[in-house]
Amino acid sequence: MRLRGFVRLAQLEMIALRLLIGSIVIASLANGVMATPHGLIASWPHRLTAAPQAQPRRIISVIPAVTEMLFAISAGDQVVGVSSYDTYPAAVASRERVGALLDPNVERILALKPDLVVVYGTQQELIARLDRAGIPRFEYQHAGLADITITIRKLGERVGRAPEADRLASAIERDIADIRTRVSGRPRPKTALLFGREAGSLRSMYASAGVGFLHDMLEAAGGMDAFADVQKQSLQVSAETMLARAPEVIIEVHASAGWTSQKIERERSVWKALPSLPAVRTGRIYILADDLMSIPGPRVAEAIRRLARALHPAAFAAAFAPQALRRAPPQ
Amino acid sequence: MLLEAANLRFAYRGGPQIIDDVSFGIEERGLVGILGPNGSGKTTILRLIARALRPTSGHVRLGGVPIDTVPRRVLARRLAVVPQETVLAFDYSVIEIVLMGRYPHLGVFEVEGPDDVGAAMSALEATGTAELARRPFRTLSGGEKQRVMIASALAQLEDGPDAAAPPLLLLDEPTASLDLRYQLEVASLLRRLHDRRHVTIVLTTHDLRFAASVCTRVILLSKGRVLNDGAPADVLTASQIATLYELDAEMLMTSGFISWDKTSGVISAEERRRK
Amino acid sequence: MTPEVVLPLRRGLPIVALCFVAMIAAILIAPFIGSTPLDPGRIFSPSIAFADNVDAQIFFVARLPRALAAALVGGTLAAAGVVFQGLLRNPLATPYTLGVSSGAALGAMVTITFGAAWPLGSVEAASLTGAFVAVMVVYFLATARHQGLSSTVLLLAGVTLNAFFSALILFVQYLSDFAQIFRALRWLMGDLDVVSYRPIFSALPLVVVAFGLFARLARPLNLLTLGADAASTRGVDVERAQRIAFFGGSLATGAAVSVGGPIGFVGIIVPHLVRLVVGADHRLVLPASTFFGAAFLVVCDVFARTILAPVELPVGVVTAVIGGPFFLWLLVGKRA
Repeated sequence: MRLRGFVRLAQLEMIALRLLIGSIVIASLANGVMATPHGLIASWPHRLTAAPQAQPRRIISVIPAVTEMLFAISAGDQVVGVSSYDTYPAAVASRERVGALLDPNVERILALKPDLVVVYGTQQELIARLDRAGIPRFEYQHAGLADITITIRKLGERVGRAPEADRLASAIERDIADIRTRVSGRPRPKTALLFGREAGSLRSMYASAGVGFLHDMLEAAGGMDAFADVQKQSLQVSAETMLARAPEVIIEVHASAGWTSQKIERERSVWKALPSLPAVRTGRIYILADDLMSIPGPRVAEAIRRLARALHPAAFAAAFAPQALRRAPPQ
Repeated sequence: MLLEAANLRFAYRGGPQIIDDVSFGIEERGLVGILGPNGSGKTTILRLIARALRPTSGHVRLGGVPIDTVPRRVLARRLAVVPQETVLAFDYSVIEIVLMGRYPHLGVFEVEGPDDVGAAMSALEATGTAELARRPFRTLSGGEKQRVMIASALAQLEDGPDAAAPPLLLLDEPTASLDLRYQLEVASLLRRLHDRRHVTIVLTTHDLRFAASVCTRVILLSKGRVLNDGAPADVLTASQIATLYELDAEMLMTSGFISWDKTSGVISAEERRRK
Repeated sequence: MTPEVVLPLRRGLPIVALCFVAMIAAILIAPFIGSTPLDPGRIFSPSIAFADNVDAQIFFVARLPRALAAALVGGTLAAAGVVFQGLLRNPLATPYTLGVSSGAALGAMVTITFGAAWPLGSVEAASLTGAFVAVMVVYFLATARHQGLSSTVLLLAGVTLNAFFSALILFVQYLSDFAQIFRALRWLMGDLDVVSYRPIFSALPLVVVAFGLFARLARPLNLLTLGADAASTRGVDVERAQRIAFFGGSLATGAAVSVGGPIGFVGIIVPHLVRLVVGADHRLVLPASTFFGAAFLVVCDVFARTILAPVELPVGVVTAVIGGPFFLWLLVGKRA
């Protein structure tokens, strides 16, 4: 009697144990990308140092430029999460928002179960969290114009769209080379390239000063940075400095939000306060209000073209459609 | 009757009754002490008389006129208060402090004139502090500070035949933070002001000896009520003191006089003991 | 025999006059100094058209408004500092102690962050509005359960408001992007490059009203030093004086901050230095601080725009760099 009881108990225990093991295996399979903090149910088949996958299918990008690149190389369907500032292409509207450079929402990023996250090299905390969770990442560092095509190619290999990436990068390089050719040999006008100014006044003016992405674009477009000697990415320019440097062209770069043609005219006429500026005398004040102007992504050639057209209108009399834009993917 | 307080009551909003039905009168040229333990409401009475506080009921009359109908500046020329202690946030000199007493005599943008300087110097002399005129206030000793504040109050009061009502000086615990020497200085000064300049003086104190020796009349204040009111000899009996301070007491009365020689600074006292 | 007393008021007048001369000199000389050498002949030459005259434009459009703005802001902040120190009976009080600057900062930051999307007006107008809101909140907090304006309650109300508005500012910054945060931070450091006379003319009526109030406050502030009771028994309408001081000081501070941002240390260094020389009588300290504060900030601004040209230091950085050692010197001096 008692012996049978024991056996019965032992059988029950065996069943319970098998159930437990089975559920552990099933759970780990289902939660392939997740890991507990103690690694008890280690995520399988990933390792903590995240060996890259051939084709990541759930990509999150907190960088608007890279998001554009992903869509431009036909990897848009693989993108599940974008930054709060993404506006292009239109398809990003349907993607989850996960924050941006300063405030990435780590919980939301993890909840989307990505298999690749594109981060800024400076987002230390986010990187640490991703490492702990075993999620592979693509670190984005950006310094100048050349990095754009380098990044596109690297990205293409990473997400399994190498041929498309190469085509895109080559097209961009061709377009930029074409612009350089058009403006070569022409005298470079002294240009103040501003990216910030308080509306309605000439206070808080910030200009490109010899270093950085904006400077590179200006240089490719055939302009000469009026503050190049300062060698900084941004310089707060006082009215006196502006008067002393006497730029021949003033180009203001702004995001598109809120800029109507009336506002553009209004803000252009604010410069009349400094009538001795050559740019004011000749009316060569351009306000380029479009998001694409400040995104170092696939549309950079278009951005440079707009700068070049402002600086050397004669060189762009004919219609010009850069090849890179023709490749904008269907939504 | 120079000053009349009738049925004064006072409590802070939502707080306990601090002054509970207090009435008394101050004669011209009186030297009255309001005596009571800490918390009896002495300072509050003084603030009510000086119109720094408004009683919840009752009234104060100065020269027969209710004080809340008297314009602030006019009141300030009749009645001056010497606070217990003066701590300055900024560094004023003695003469500047005394000249501040001339505020009620000057228009908004009027600068002190020779009359004002004269009044100030006269007040300084009366309190024996004329040599201190240019010294910074904070470098003075406790007794000197107190005398300068008295001088400031004197400079504030209108004096002479133009005065509509005789000047009234209120002092809040004039000797509380002073040692014996300075207590005697101030006591002697008050007596002189009273005797020679005919200033009416009302002071609060918890110092029995001071009240007994300086005042011509003492009002005993206990828990916001008047316990007794009269000449020190009549009022300061053992049983009254015991009730006032809630302890056993035996009275030992001495009488005598204190004189203070201004030039030599010598204080001498003669006393005779009596039971 | 009583010593001959020359009133401190009389003795201090020449120093007030000296400060006035210093202010005028600073305003007149500063526009000639800068990183770009100017030819005085060209500046005032009537034969050159203004539109072509770079020197004249640098002088009249870039530098002169800047010097005037510096004088206006410096003088106003110094005077407001004196008034608040008198009101709070504390030589360490500043024009910003009671929360005016955090209100102005909040207004400015809201405009910087949301001004592109919503029509919020200029940063100046918004910071003035923010300052006004802060002042009203502090006033109602301080008078809610008390008669009159006790300095302790005022201080508490000001600290409360500063804390609360700082939290709101952090929240607005959280909602901002990189560029907006950068602009907001630079605003906080102060900027006197007004480029036009408009901000000066906008702030001027407020400043004039404030100084009109200050003129009436000089003597009552002296008496307030003795304490509220002592002042009241000397005939001062203490409640009214406190109200005038509070609103006048806040109005002046709000106007100054709307022009140049919350420039620090002027409101505490200048009154301190002035008191060392003329004494504590507010009838001397107020005008002397106003003139000296104006000259002081004009000089600081010249430094700010020339030391690292063409990079410009924010003027608040210059005043802070002076302020730190100043306080150290105060501390050491007191202990010695």
